[in-house]
Amino acid sequence: MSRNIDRIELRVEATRDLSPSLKHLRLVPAHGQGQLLAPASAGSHIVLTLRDASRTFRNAYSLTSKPGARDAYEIIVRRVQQSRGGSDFIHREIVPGTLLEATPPANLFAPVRTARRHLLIAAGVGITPFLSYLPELDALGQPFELHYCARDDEQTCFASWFGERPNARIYRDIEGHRLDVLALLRAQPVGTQLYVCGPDTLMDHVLASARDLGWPASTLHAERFGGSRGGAAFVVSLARSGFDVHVPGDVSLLDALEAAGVHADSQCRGGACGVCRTTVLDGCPEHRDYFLSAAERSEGRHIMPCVSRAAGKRLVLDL
Amino acid sequence: MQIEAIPSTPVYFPVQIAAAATAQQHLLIVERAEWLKPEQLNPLSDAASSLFVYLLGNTILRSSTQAQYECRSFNDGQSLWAMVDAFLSQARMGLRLYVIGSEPFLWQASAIATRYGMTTDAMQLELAGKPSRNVYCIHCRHTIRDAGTNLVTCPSCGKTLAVRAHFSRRLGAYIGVQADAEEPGVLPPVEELCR
Repeated sequence: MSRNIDRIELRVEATRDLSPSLKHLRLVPAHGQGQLLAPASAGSHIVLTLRDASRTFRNAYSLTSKPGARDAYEIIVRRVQQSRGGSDFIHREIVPGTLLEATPPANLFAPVRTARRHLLIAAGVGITPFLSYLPELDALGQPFELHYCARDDEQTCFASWFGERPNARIYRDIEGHRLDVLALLRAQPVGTQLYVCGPDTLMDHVLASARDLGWPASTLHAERFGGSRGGAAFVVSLARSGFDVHVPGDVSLLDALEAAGVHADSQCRGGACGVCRTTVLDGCPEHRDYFLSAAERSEGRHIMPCVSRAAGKRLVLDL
Repeated sequence: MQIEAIPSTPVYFPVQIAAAATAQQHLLIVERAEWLKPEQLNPLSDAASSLFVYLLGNTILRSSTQAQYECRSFNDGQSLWAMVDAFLSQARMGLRLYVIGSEPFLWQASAIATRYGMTTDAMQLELAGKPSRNVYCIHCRHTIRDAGTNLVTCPSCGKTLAVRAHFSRRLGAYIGVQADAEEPGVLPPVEELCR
């Protein structure tokens, strides 16, 4: 029997509705009692393969289980109305006993262990990577602050995770209760590392504000699992494989490639890690990633198929 | 003698304050006033930011510059580093550190800043003066200050050390290894270090 180290099998042991739109999953090894999972560090995620009747989704989810835990991986999934379908599928179809294919944990959002202080800013379901930070930073004994912009149901769900902590604050989208990002960033002592996870608008605002205030690039950390926004349909020609793949408007280029059986390396599926970088032989990419430099973008020789698309009707890739 | 550079060997560039004009505060530490070129104190384009200059030695900067800055000079290293420490303990994010001096001076400043959690992309180090290296004896852990040759005798354990290209940023020193470990008494010729 061949074993693929890039793929693990998990069984949904339990599900819990934290709210109408937030579902908690506890995932254990699919086969065999007493099997242990690989330990994951704080900020890690796994990519779940979700097979709907008509299509396959691969979505990344932060692990909310305690770092180092080997009995189970835990995730929290928000049902997104406008999603590509993965989160909706989990809310509709996943029940205890369901078997899921996943990647082993990877970490693109680890806390800097040599830092003097940590500033965590989260909004919405972007709180999930930080749930594993809390025990890790407690164990390291390093000072940190958590600032969380929450909706009603999220406040109810997550307040209990850090309700008693004096270093955690929850903000609401109500006049007088909003987070003042600039004031918060200005007040931070030298030696602080910044981590942000949430909707793109919040992350862009926080990161741009920090850069304007002179925070060095190495102190800024963002976790983006935005997924692809979709766009116009186009055709991608695979030069080495010798065939064309149609990419519908609501399917990412990477998903379309995988559906066509083309092997393409990938990791975060959010345009952040750079693993899926692919050479463009012809056509103009519409870059939506956070990995390529400005020079590489204008050159147009590479594309991140997990989030980026074609600017025109056709792309030729070296695949 | 040119020690062949390896990845851990530090590379230094001239300090350019204007390049980091988006920062909120700039701290410039200079070992000897004459190593600071007046043009390096170009007026900062960002009016909201401020520049502090700390000088070792009782000198006053030539005032041929229009830059707005607050300058302090210190008689000795101890009072200088104590002040740097006090400054960093109060500083906020958005601080840039610039240091001009000999290699041991640069890495002393770097060590203090690192202790306060400053990252290397918030610091600029400019090497000045004659070549001089701190050497860390791997045999007895003594640090020999301001070595000027490729071979030094460790005053703590008496071994003759060859100064290697490997540099420890934590210790701010090159690694010194017994030079005649393989053939006792056989030593390479002594040469002056150059940059």
